[in-house]
Amino acid sequence: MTRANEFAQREPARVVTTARLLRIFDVMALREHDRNVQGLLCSVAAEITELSGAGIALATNDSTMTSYCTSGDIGSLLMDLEVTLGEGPCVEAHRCEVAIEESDLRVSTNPRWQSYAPMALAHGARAVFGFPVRMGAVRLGALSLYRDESGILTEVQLSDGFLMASVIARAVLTLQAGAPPGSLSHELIEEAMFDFSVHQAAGMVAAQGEMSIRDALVALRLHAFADNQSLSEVATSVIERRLRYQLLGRVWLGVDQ
Amino acid sequence: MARESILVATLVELADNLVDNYDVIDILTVMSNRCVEAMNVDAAGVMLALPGGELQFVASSSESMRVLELFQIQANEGPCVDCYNGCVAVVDEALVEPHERWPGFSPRALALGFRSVHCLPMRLRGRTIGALNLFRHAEGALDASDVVVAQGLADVATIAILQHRTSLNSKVLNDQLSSALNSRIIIEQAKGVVSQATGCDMDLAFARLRGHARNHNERLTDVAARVIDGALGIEGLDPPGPSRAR
Repeated sequence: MTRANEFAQREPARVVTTARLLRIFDVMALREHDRNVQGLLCSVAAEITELSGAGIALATNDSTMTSYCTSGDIGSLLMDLEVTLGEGPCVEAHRCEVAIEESDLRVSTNPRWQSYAPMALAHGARAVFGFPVRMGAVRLGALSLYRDESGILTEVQLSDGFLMASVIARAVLTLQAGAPPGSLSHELIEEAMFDFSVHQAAGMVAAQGEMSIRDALVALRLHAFADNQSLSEVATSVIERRLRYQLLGRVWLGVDQ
Repeated sequence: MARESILVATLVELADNLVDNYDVIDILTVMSNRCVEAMNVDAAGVMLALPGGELQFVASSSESMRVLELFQIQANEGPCVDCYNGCVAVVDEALVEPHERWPGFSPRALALGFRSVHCLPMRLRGRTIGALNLFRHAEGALDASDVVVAQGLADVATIAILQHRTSLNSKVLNDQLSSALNSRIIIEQAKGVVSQATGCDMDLAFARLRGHARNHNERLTDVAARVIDGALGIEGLDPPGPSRAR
């Protein structure tokens, strides 16, 4: 029996999400049997927003950014540029925690992109956009999108960029916890887009295990996979103090009431 | 306190807070609390959504887990979804079992003793960004004047979130909404840290964060973020006790 079927038996079926979120999950499900699971998130982002390509950069401890994936011919060139120069839509979206819109690099007046803008143009990008990828205090990085023609984003493209960024945040953590191949869209649909108990539990586990919230969110997911439970069930166990993370040995302990 | 006095005090406080460096979640919490005090309702909360996204609660008159679950289940079903999608007030909806449109939400609300529910759309210049959700233990209609007051408070809340009336381009709108939604997540994460570190429940954890923020004139979200990253240790967090305002 698949995990999805097991959860459906134990928990009432979640009502389907919004049409635009479902579209993201549908595209993800179609593509997730490709070999490159990480690249999946970038190609889905580009397809959903109907742009030329995408890149996802994650922030490291010392606040530099590294490439997580790219898509599109020019995508990896633009990402290399950002990572090397420390300038561009990913860097800025992550640092400023707002969406970045540069609809025409030829007339860009952004003082922070003096090196990036002409070089991105030389690579063939005309417009670039960025969206922060975050989950509360966990500032994972950013999604960048480019187009080989100038122009602003439509309202739908803009809101899809924000939605995609929030899905990517959950996807990155789920993949880091080792979601079985081909199961990512399933796992993401099973989880609510926002579950306060998961975040409260992450806070508790972060304190219990002296780890970051990000590591706590991954640890919760790891335990959910290992124990064949939903993330929500694990979170509830932590909040109700039936399950705790022990720093010594880095193990989970069931606590008898 | 007479209702008019509560409302005037609320409007003054909101106006006073809408300058400088205010915290959206705190403002909406104030508003939710005042709904309960000023009107015949027993619980109130605010739900917001990114365009195309699911509704998420951002503030509530109660931090109890059962009430938060009641808001959370409304991501996909319930009066707020109907209100938000239709951009129309949903008032005087009696919660019955079985409920045709809300098979998951209705029994949970009834289990908490709520018999009627009302939602007012939060909107500005043709955009709906969320809903103000009110619950009552009693059955029956909200007074017409309560509906007017509730819509007025919802409108003030919308302005608080959107900040700049003049620049409602989509990017700014999305940035503001995304920031409000993300702030709530920071607060939930911080509640967990405080709860674990002090052994208190989530309700009290929230009160400590909010009390400290108000006592030190800091933004609630900033205090929460500093507790999470360790810049503000638990020992530095003000002890629980009456703070200046609710």
